[in-house]
Amino acid sequence: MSSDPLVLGQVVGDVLDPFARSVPLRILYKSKPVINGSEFRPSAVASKPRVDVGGEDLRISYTLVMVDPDAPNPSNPTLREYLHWLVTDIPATTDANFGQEIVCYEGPQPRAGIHRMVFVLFQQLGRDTVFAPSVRHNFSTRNFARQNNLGLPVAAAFFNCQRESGSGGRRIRN
Amino acid sequence: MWSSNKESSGSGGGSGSGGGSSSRSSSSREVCSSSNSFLFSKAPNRRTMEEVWKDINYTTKLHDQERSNSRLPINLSSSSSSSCNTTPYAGLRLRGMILQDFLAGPLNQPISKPTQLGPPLASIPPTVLSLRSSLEFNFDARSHQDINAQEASTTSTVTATASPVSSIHLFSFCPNKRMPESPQGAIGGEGSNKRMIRNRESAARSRARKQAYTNGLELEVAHLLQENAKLKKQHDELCLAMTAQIPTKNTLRRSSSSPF
Repeated sequence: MSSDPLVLGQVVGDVLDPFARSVPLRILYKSKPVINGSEFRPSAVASKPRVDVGGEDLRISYTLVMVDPDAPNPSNPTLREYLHWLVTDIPATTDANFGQEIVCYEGPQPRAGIHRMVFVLFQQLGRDTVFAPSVRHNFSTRNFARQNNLGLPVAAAFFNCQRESGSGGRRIRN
Repeated sequence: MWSSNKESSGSGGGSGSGGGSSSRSSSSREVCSSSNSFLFSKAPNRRTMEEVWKDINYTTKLHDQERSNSRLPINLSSSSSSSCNTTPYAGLRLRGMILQDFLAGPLNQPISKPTQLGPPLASIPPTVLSLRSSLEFNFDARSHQDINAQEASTTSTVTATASPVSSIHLFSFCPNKRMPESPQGAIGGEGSNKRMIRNRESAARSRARKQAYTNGLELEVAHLLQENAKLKKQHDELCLAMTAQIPTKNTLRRSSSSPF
């Protein structure tokens, strides 16, 4: 059994195809780094994080995608995946502020269950080659990558998010 | 899941009941193989799950027609071997109940005594007797001594308690692994079946989440330790370089001075 949290958390499978990490990616919500599988409540992730992208060549551009594959409910993900953020043309060695935010950041607001929020980093072939979808729901990272010639991801991370007053994915008693 | 179950039990069925039953981990599988070998030697080993469920549907129709006539107390040991080869359905019907009725029992029919449910699955084709026997083993065995004696020898490794349990509990205990998909509209217990599947998926997700979290933490710890070691090394080197340079700082040097 693989020990990669992305595989164990079924991110590779539900959202991504197996890939090899080649670019360092650091995501920080108010100086708290995102560790794979850690938990953040909606209040902590309401505003966009700081995303530091590694790499060496400033000329290479990256695209960052943030999706929720468990929308609206992990047991019944009919809206898989829900696009929360899409930033393109991020130069290597910089952060997401230097890119183009073509789908603005929307903080997660899960209603039911514990959702995985996945960040994916792709390397672009050139600048201005990536286009935004019309709607956020039923997004497909795989198709998006294929349509925009992004290939396999170069980095990914995920965290878990449940509603503010949630207690581990249990149903709300009314 | 079930069809692979069939094939494994089919291959193990001929090899001997005792060995087959004790080596399996899941009780339903071992009972299936043991009951297979016990009750009929060359029975349909290669039956697919679809055929089995078709038979159940068929027996539902049969049973509905002959319900009033079928109050036969069956001695399974004598009738099974003979009946299974000829009329597998009629001979194995016990007390007018079949699987569907039993499963529908908790929801539709008020069942007075647990023993009534005891021989419910008799009309099911023999390959599904695994369900029945594991269910039956859970009941108070007072009224089914021959059956249980027979079953007990073959299901010795079934870890069932002898205390009487509620039918719903049995229904959930019966298949240790995932239940097969129910046929369309045949079973009243489908609702709780789906719930069980959903619950299992949720539990699996929870386990995966937990494991992913601990692995993520371990990786982070390893990464941080590495970084820490690297930084310490760098720090030591810098300190060394600094102490090596300090003596040279205090030496006087000639530099150009002004003419006056």
